[in-house]
Amino acid sequence: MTPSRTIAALLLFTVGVLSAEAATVAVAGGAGGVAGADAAAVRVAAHRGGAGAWPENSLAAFRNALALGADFVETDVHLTRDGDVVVLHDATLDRTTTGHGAVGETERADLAALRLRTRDGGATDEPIPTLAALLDLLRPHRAELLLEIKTDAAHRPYPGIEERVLARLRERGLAPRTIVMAFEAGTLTRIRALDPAVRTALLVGRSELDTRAPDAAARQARAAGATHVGIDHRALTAEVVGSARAQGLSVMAWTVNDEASVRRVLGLGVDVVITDRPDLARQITGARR
Amino acid sequence: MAPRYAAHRGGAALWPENSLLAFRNSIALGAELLELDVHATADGRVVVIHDATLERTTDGRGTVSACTAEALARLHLRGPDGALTGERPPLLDDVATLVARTRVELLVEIKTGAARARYEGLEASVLSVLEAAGVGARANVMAFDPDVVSRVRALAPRQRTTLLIGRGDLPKGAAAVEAVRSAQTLGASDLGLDYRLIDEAVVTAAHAAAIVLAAWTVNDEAAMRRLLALGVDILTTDRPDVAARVLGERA
Repeated sequence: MTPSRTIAALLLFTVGVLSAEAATVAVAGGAGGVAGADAAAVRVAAHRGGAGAWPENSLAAFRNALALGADFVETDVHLTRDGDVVVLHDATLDRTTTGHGAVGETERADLAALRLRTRDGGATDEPIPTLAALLDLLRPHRAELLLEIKTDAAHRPYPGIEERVLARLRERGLAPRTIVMAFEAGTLTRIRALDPAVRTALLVGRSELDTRAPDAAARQARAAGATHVGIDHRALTAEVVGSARAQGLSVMAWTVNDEASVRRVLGLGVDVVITDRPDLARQITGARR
Repeated sequence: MAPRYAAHRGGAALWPENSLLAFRNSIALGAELLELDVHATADGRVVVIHDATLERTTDGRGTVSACTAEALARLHLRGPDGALTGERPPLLDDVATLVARTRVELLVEIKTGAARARYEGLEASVLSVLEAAGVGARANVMAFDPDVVSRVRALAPRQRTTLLIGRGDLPKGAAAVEAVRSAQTLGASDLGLDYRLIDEAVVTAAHAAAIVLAAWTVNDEAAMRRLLALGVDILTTDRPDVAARVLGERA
């Protein structure tokens, strides 16, 4: 080990100690908690890297979410015209980037020239991350990944996106730390066919649940072979959670941002809280520990 | 010494200003310095809040100094969007306890009351809270009022102090380098200047006088880069996330 490497290692160690201290402080100093003893397993996912002044689904957002102690980062992926997997929520570029048009009709090289916008529309220096760049950022941390596979601008599945996502995850050894999510059962079926060991989550919206029996989400997730079901928190009831448990599924609630709602879903016994406010959720779940 | 950044009011653009949530989050993001403001309560405690009145940042009304610490602890703080949150105005004791377990430094600004009147005895109260938590050596006591800085220095001659100077505080026609002379005369270790006053001459004068130069409140990336190029020592910012990135690029 060269002297400069020794110094670098010492610095890294110091940083580690500092952040461990910060984490302890964050938990110990949490605001008044909710009653309940079984909350140790509740985990917090930073939705699109978490809201803040930073742009959604940016490397800055993911970096900050990791620093703020999120257990998972949640993100969305699309396929470029030339088959690269990129991190972005919408199927079109217009809302969150300086570009226009469909992601699926744009070459990766053209996407690289674009920059992300903040929530108020201001352009930033942040590029659209590739899935590879996000995985590289995540790799040295303990946090896990909730990866939603999206559909194209015409709501059609991207042909071959499942293979490409799995290839990226395997290259970087992150498949065991990832839960692949989709609203489309077919996407999860394809993931399972390609790699039965990968955990998957079927996402279910409020409108889909309102018109059906409370156990519809759980049955559908089970039929897709999913390990998790991710439900709009406004549609979550004790019955819905109970039916998922009866099917052996873990339950994720999205997107839970205000304190009262975070406390409500924790009371229902969900396993993962997906939120734009990982800092706030952390404080509430921390106080329960 | 390498330049550093201070999370202004804990990072006021990101979280409820002067809240424990903001201070904790800034520490988690890697801030080495936290900036905050203090007033005296009716019962002589030291509360962390910026304004002398409650309306802008809380769901309370009236002046801070008319409320007891207990009454203030029942108020809720507003977020950057003005919406009420679950956070309460913290006491200086709470923040000192929070940082006591880290290596983070505190920049504590002693404010004046509603009529700009100096709080009698607040300097001694602040110093005693910092000492009790064992963070006196990691704190820097700041004020716009030179009288407050003098009193702090009289009570604790080794305490690091900052004289704050804004654009309206310099005599008409005076050059910004005058601010350096004011800090020097007062014996302050640091000078905190409105960043718009800072040019090459100010930086040169401050460093020649061995005075640490802090720039407030810098939220824009281009301005941060300009100030770092000029050689300021501390960037005080509502956007600790942006400052962390800009300083990280230089590393």
